[in-house]
Amino acid sequence: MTSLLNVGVSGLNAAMASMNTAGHNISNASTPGFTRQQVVQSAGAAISGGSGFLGQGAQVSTVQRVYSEFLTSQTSSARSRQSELDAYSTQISHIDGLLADTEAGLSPALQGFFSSVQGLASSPGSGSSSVPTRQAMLSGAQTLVSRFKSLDQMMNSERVSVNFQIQTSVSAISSYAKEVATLNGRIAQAEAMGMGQPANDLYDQRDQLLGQLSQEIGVTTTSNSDGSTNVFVGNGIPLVLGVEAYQVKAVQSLLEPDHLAVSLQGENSPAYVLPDRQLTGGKLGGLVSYMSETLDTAQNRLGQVAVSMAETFNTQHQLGQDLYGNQGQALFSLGAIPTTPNAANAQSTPAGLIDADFDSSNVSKLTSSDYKVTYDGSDFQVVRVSDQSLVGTMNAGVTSLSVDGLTFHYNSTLGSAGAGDSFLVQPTRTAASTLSMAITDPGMIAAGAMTRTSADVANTGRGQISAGTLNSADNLGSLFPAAPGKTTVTFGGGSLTFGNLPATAAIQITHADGSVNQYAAGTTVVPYVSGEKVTLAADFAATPAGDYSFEITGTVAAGDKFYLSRNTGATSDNANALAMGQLQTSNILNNGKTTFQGAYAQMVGVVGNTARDVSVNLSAQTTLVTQLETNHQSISGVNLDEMAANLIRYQQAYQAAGKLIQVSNTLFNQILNM
Amino acid sequence: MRMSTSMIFDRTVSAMQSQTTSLLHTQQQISTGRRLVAASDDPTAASNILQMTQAKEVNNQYTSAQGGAKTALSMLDSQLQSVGDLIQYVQQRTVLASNGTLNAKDLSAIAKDIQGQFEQLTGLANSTDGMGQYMFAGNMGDTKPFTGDLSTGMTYQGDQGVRSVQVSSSRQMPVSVPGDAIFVGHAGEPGLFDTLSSLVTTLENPTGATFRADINSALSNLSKSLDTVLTERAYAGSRLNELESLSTATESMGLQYSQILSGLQDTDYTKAIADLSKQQMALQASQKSFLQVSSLSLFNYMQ
Repeated sequence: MTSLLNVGVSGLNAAMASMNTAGHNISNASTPGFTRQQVVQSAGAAISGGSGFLGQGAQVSTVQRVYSEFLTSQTSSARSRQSELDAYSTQISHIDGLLADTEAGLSPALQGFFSSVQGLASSPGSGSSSVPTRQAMLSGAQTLVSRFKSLDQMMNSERVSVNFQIQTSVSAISSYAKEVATLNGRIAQAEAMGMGQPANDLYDQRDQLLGQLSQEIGVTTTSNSDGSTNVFVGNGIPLVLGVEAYQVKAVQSLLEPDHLAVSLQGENSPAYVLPDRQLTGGKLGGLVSYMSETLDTAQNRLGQVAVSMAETFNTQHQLGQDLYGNQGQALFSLGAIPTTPNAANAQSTPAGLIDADFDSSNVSKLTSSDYKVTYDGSDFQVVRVSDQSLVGTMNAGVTSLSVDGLTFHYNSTLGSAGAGDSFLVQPTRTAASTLSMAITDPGMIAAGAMTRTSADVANTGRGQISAGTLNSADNLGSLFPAAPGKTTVTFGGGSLTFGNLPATAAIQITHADGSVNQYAAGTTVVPYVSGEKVTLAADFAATPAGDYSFEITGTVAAGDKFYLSRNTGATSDNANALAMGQLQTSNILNNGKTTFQGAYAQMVGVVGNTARDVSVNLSAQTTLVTQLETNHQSISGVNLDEMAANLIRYQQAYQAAGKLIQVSNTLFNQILNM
Repeated sequence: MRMSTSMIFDRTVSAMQSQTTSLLHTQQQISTGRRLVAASDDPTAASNILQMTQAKEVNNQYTSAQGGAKTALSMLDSQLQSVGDLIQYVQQRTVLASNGTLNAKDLSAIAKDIQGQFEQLTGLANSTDGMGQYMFAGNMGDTKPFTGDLSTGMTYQGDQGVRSVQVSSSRQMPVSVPGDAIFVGHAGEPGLFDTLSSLVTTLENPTGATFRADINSALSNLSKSLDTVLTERAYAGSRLNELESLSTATESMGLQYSQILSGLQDTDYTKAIADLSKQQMALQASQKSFLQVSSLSLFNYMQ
């Protein structure tokens, strides 16, 4: 009878435990990270009697989580990747939407500027209605400059915002790591006290933390026998070891001043700065790769368009003559190229040891890449970062290097470098922000040509002289002394005789078959056939030669005279304005393959393609995460209908066990009443 | 398969969110009229749109340059016509003077008349365009091209510059003619001003031995000057014709660019509105079915 009572009580307890657990499950049905629990119930040890084993009721062996370690870690790493793509996608959508906007992008300002150049070409003079066209071109240029600046500003705010988010993410990682370490300690403690029974809810909490951690950065874990877990980032770099959490900090990158890096420090180990490639997965991974893959590239490409435009326009503008009869000055100005010494350089290495400027005669070779200049102990090696190729070296003997539309300088007078010291040169990174107007006076726009040609009115032949092209302003002074100097070219029936030719000018004749004859400076009579190209230069070997060329065509009579001179008083000349207008459709960038607009369109295409890739990957990853979560939830999630059924089942079991006790009581009374 | 209760909620909510996102995207396409909301919607098209926009803008520049060239050439033509009329009038007066029936007083009156024509010619040669620039000064628009008078003769102060306008991608069209090509003599021949001033001198001395010869030489020089003017007018006329055909071509290019751009960037309203209704229906269905599914619970039946 006592045994029947005991059996009843054990059933009552078991049903109670199950109902408690069902209640716990119901209460936590919407607790994040909660894993459904169930009571593991077994039959109690039987008592052996003469007639066999008599069961002694039920017992609760343990309460366990219904849990798949495999699915949990799979879901967690899939969510880590999703979170990485999501961060990337959110950030890139900011610039993706803006760049292609037909109103807000670079395109309308670029078109507006070139329209104003064409307007100038149609009315270049100083008359009352021409001042507006000159003013309009200045405003057009100013609008373009402002648009470059505002796009750059927008990218800089992106950079600030991404760096801020990186800091937030790093401090989240740091605090999650600490909490995981704390829970590791509590789990070990709880399990020791609970005689080896699993601390289910603490495990859930830790899994939830690890899930949140992996949404910030990709992690891997290993388990220890005391129930604690170790957490690693990147390629096995420890973040949590048992109860020790490493210190995680966002620090300024050694090499790139506008980037943040992540450093890790353990109790007994020195701080270690993680290379970017170790920061994969999670929001942090997404932000870091967005910054280096997309934002840097887009800002550099925008800068490349700004530099190419400024340099090309300046070169053309300097070939022209302004309203005051002066040679055109630079139209735009650009700031110095930022060069950053590596923070780990030797103390004695001067900051300005390496610098660079733009090589305006090779502007089409300019790339959008950064350059790293590293001293190997004997040479400075200049490496183009985009493809990691060595583009040249500098040393004590060779202190400058012209490559990719840039000239690098080794300022050896400032000091020396230690082996391994490096400098980061970013030619195009800040160009769009430092671009500005160099002139503000509409009269200083050089719409006309610097030189003119004319035919003598007494000529008897019908020969014509072309307008003449100045190809570089470098030797203007030596070829065309200031007015009223005038060079006379007289046709002698098979030769040209130059009168008043500046002593430094050498002559070159290009024949119809393309062959060339050059004559030393001082030669004033050269063989000539009508239609051949005549080129004058101070030095044909120099680059650029600083030359000037013209042609005489048609039937020229012997004795006919032509004149070359400064274009004095030619205030309504539009030759240079026309030449500037043609830059719109000239292929200038990327080795003469792309127009300004084309280069911008390419950049928009690259950003758009990346955004699209990321977005497609994100939606695929989201599908995968949903699938894995469904699988995970189908095992570990709480179904309220199921719990309702369980409640009914265990309620019935409880009632039945209660009946057992009542029966045992009835039996006992029966004996008493006997 | 087991379904957890929170999963039923979560999945429905995320499904409704993605439906709302596509609904908004379509709505944005309809309200902006643009198919691409961001470059990532179709990166190739986004890049092409920018290239095509430039092509269209450049084409528009040609259209306005053609308009400017047409104005300049028409103005040039009308000035040249006045010069031509003037030469023809002087020719008539000279022929009248040469028929031998006029006395010295009549001839002197004609001389006065031609002197007046000289002044008028000076005005024409020094005329300015709508922007206050001298038309016949070459590129020296601020410099009065002809100075002097009947007695000293006229000196050309301009240059031989010819202003051109970019009227198509491959054509820079000259739209001006320097004054020395019209009014100044070449290769030792007298210019129009010289002819008029020596004619006046001749008519004022009808008794001179070379009177008849001088009159004849004046007539011959006048006819050469008229030829020069007519040649320039014909050249201006041919460029005006060229502009007509260029402007037709530019216009049709512009139309083509607009069509290509429209195809690349404009919303296809039929498709967008059909999409919108479809997406709207799907979202409503999700919402209704969610309400029904979520109200199902065994707890409702436990008393």
